Amino acid sequence: MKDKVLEILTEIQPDFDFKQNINFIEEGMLDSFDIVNLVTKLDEEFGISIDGMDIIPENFYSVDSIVNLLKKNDVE
Amino acid sequence: MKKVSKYDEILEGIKSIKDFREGYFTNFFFSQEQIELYISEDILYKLDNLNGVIFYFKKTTDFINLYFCASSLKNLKKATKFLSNNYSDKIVLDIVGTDKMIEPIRNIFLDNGFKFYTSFTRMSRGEYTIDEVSDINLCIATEDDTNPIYELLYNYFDPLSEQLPLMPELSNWIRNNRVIIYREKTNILGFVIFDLIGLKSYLRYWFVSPEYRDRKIGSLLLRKFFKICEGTKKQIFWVIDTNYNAIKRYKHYGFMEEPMHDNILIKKEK
Repeated sequence: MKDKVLEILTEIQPDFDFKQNINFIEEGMLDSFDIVNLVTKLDEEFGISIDGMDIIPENFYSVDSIVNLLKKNDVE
Repeated sequence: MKKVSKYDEILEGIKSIKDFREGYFTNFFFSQEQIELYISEDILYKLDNLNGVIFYFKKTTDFINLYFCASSLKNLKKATKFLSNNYSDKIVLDIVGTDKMIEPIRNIFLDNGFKFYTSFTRMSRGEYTIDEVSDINLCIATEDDTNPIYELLYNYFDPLSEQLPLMPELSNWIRNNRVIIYREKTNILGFVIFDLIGLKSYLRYWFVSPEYRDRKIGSLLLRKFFKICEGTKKQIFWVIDTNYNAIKRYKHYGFMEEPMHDNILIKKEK
């Protein structure tokens, strides 16, 4: 799952290295436009519908926080 | 149409659209900070009793900026027809994305009374280095510069297509040292407004008064902006598609056009 998340992030923002252990939002790697695109792609890829109330910056700080969000949506 | 009174209403709205489990189409990309500002300024409204669609309206003095969150294009089409038949205000719509993403949405609005106005292309470049830029007239704007810059923005930029900032947004940029000006005596001859967020920078507005455009002030301002943002991994801005001279100049600085566009459509008031 982690590899797939990295693949999607790189597809959205190919200029950044998402393997780095930094905060994607604070570092400007993902903005609000990217987050909407990311949610759409995660929904499609994993066959889920991420709750609108979960579309908050904290859930997109890192690959781990995105993976946790997917786990919350029963993605294994 | 109801006034949006708290940020959670937006999140609840997104949830209600996604609960249709049909898809998610939107042009509503504001950050929480921006949305909360619009709420505090009493300019954000919504129309949410539509099947699978919520429209948001950002009101200005002369027109309304329209945003949508839709579960499907079919539902967006129905809701747009309703909007077009029942609202007579002058409405401006931005649709952002690749041509493939934009086209079906644009067609829905074009079929319902909206007309194409203009289009922007996103340009960007990666890391770079730049020599120090020094000119006695170049400086960072201070609070006292807020009103003159605000006036220049509203006198020279197109409010319909360029999403001009509210006074608190401009004040915020100035407070955060995100406005570079070129000043002679007490006159501001040009400015650059930008955002710098971690590894990314955004050029928001770049301006030189028409009577001073042969003095390379624009180039100085831009190079100062590049110097301040040196070390970022990506610099972004939007340019009007047909402004070939500007595109050529930006390419000279190493920028490339991205397959990302912003189409502006307008529905005139009835």
